Amino acid sequence: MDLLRGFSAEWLRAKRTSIFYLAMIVPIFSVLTTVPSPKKFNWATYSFPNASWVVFILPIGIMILSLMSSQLYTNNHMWKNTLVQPISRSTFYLAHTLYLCSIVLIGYLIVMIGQMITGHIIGLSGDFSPMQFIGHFLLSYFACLHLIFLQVWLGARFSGVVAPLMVGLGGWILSGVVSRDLPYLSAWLYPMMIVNEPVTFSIICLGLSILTLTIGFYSFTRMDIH
Amino acid sequence: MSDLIIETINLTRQYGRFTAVNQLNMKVARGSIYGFLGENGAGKTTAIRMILGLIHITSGEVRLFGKSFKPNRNEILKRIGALVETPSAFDHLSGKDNLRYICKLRNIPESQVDHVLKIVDLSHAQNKDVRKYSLGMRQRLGIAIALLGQPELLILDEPTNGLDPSGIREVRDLIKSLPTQGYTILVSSHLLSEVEQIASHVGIIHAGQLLYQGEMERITRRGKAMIHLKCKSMSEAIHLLEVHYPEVYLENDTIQIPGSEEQIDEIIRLLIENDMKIQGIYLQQSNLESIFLELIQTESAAS
Repeated sequence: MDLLRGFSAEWLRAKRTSIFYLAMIVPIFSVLTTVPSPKKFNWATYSFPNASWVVFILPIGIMILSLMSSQLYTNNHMWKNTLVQPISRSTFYLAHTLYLCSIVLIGYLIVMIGQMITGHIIGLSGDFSPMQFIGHFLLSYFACLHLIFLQVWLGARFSGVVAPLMVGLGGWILSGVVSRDLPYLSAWLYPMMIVNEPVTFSIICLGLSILTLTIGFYSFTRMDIH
Repeated sequence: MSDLIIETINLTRQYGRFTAVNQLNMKVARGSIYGFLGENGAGKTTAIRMILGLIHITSGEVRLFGKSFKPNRNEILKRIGALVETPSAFDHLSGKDNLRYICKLRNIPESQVDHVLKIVDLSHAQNKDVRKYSLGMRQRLGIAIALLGQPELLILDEPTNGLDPSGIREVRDLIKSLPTQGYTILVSSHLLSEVEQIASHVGIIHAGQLLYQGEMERITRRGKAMIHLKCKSMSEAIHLLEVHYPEVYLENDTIQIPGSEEQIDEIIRLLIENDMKIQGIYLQQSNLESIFLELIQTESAAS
């Protein structure tokens, strides 16, 4: 119940901010700018999240959205007002994280539905398997959770934007550089890679998600609010 | 049920070698307005943040409503409303939405929003974005947030900070009206005259140490804000003022009367009505530093 209250408060707080609009408009933009050619693609090759989404928009978007979300608290001095309310810090942290997860999930759903519609409009060849299509998107979403947890933690831990930006951008660039030779170290590109090697990457992503969420929890509950 | 709403036991906070709060033993009784006095940097906000669980305690204990804070955090915070230092609210939301946000976190019906807006006289601006609020309005919104859920204990950290005189008076009147509604209030300030007008009890903190704690009356006897006055005809002015005020002194060619800023208007009117020419009039706040020194000397002598 407390988690639901916190989650609901998070949505109220985000009212009339650009967070929600970004989460809606950018995925639509991603779908519209990557309409495939029916000659080169069929349903088998188009049942994955498009490359511009998983490689570029998603990692950068997670960083920007989580920063915007945490900066709303920092800039308005609202951490203290929030954390003197009768809701445990761990529950609030979970609600805050869940809110970011839901925003990213909305983005994924828009891309997924957009790609489904686009594929049908341009008449892709081959068999369309809804379950496989949805499965690929959910798997990719699962592989970005550790990025959300990491950025939420950094956003809450540091009052400035430098550290979360440096880690987010640095990690993304580094992942791009080493992705061919050391794919398992390309954490920012797991949402793309997991579809090709689901078992291995699922295990890695699960481990990383647990680790980043635990560190975030621990750090947030022990943090001094000035 | 304990009569002490707040009790800190040897509360200490250190930042490296610097001790911000040292062995603080604060006792706030039920139904009182406790003025927490100290200069900027004395440790007031650090102590309040520890009491509210915002920052960690180096050593000591906080007990609220007779219970230890840490294991009973949520249960205790349900009974507390707080305004910590600068008034804070989400700028992009309206005053009403900010209150609704807190209602959700406190799990209280949103119907209370209208009630607290009415108390702080912000009903007319409830749908306005907070970014368009004046500092005084923000401060009142902060108090409205603290009042949500009808808490038994209100903790107000420097609630008049940065306000103009009319804003200060508004907030002061608001705080003064609250105890009749069953609140216990801890209000911090660096202005003795401010606390003097609203508090029933006072605690004075200096360099992280609580120097004095007790009834307000006792400390006000030690140091009062003085109205300083110069007139063309000093002896006539003294004679006239002595009729109306119990304490009138002449020091360094200046007439001094213990009082507040509200009394300045009254004195000016009195003198003008009696055809006296005023050369200068101002209010000098009591010097906390001198009271501190006096307190230290008294403490030393007593021990």
